Amino acid sequence: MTRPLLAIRDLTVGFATDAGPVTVVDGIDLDIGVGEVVGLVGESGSGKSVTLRAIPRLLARNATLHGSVAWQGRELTDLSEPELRLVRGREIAMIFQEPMAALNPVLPIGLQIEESLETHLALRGRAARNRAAELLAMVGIADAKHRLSAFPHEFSGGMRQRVMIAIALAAGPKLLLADEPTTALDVTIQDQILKLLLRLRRELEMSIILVTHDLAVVARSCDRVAVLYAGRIMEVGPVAEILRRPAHAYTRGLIGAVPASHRPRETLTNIPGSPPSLLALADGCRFAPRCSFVEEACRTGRLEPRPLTSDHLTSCLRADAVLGASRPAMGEPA
Amino acid sequence: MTDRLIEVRGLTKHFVRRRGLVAALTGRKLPIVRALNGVDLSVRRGETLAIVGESGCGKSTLARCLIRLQEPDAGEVLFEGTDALALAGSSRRDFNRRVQMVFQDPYGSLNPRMTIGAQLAEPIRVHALRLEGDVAERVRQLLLMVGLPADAAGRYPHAFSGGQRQRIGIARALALEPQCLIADEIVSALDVSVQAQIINLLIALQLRLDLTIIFVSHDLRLVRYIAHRVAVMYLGRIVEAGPTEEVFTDPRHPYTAALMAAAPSLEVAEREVTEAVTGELPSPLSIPPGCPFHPRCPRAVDRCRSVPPPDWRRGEHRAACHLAGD
Repeated sequence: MTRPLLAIRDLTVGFATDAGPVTVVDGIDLDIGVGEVVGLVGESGSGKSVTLRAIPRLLARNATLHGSVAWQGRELTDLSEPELRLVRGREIAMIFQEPMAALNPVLPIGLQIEESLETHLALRGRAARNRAAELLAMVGIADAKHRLSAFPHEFSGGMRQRVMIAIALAAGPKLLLADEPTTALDVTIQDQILKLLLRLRRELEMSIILVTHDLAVVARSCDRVAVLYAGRIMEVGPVAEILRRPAHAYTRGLIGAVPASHRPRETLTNIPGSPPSLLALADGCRFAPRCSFVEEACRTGRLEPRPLTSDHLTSCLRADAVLGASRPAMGEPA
Repeated sequence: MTDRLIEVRGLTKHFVRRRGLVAALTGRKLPIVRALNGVDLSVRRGETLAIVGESGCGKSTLARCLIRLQEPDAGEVLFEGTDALALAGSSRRDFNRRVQMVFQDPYGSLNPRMTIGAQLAEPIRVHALRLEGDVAERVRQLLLMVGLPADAAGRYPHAFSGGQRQRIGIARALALEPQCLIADEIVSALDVSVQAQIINLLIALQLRLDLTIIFVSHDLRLVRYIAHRVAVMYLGRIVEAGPTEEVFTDPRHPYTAALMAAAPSLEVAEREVTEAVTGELPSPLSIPPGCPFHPRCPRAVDRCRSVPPPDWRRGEHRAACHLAGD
């Protein structure tokens, strides 16, 4: 494999809280290739958003970060805040779940795009204004020139997310970090935004890391996926393979819990219990307390992801049993 | 018909915006949000009817009008054949007991300063459903019924996870031994693995207690899984309704078809670049003439822009579309 655009090694992020130190991301390895869309999927508290924010080091003050984040060969964890500021937005941009909270409510959106153009590309005046209109048109906003003077509240949720994407793309980043960008949107609008992201990735040869709790969003838009649980990677590999042949008990459970719209009333496998508290984590596989495949060995030591094939890794000790389990999770005729 | 538990005819609810200073001075007409525009619906005893649609389609307003949390402007709601909107006094209280609602945000709808036991006991006492000496036992039963430990009664809402709180919300609704449960987006704030637990619980309770369930949701995948019949809403109208499998396999309204195409599934299919439906939901302040879906409809023809669509029917399946019969 050629050198990845982004290589994350042993990334660990902790927070000091009133209840004591909490490790939210616990030793994650992940590579992102050029032009690749990689999904980070997991439930609340799995560490997916913190992993994403740790890349450009957008973390709260009480956070501690260890490990390595190599961006095109440069070590981001060694950069000073001013050096990092040249990377953020310009090389690595980010969009968020709640565009209304990320946009300035009292500035016209044109100015907000121009601000990004000025900061990163030193573009001003008429040139900036023209480029802003181009960017708006690129993200699918009709009549872009006239919409530059509109305020965020005049746009719907889907349109605001398009504006956010336009601002993020202003400097031509090579990597877009997308944190649940469609979670707050209706399905028809979600579909439009995901398709927009895929088109932009193709046109701009940009890589995307997409954080989502919805495996179906991953199925629709990602090339590879990493499944996170309680701060660790359970399984990582090509989307089609993981959805058809999950090799981790947690992934299998997660797939079974998603009702498939293309098939009627089959029993949803529910995963008993709820995700563990990060304050009191046991040894061994973190999913073990909820796992139906669990055996004694799962409860001790630290389980690292190991390769099943060249690009499919799982940390599940019972991977063979999971793969051999009777009912295929999906993808085969009933 | 006796198997109809609830019958809704022509239900209409418009909200008029409060007059602001500028509007008052200029005498400008007040904008009207047309949330419900003549909804017809029937719910059978023991079935699950799903109401689906995107934000702003009026599905939550409909749910609220059904239990009279909001009073509709026009139309009727018949509960077992009697006019539920005319009920007053003790008969209204009895109606309120028999139709219960479970809300989306289980934390927002529980009192943080009352123990779970006290919150479950309160409605039982208000409606005098048990003798005082039997209330504690009933609370214990309710907790077991929704899969919570009996010692949950002594704890406060903050001690529970989102999924557990939603179980409490269901237990509180069941405390009144209702015939009908209205579930308004009850799993949309939960993680998938927990979502499945709540859905499975709902189905089990329905079988055990012979409940009628109105399941309001934006998630078509869940709807297909749980509902016997489905009604699709768009801008305050039911645009298609029928038995779930028939609607899913043979949608007659282009909006239903678009919703289904847009709903992501786990199939790693070819990634189509064309969007399922273009544009966004028009504002309920100004609903398009003719068929309200025509500005976004890929199949719209001339008459769709001016003539309101007739009701197409085939058995129990109906759709409000000019082209439904084609």
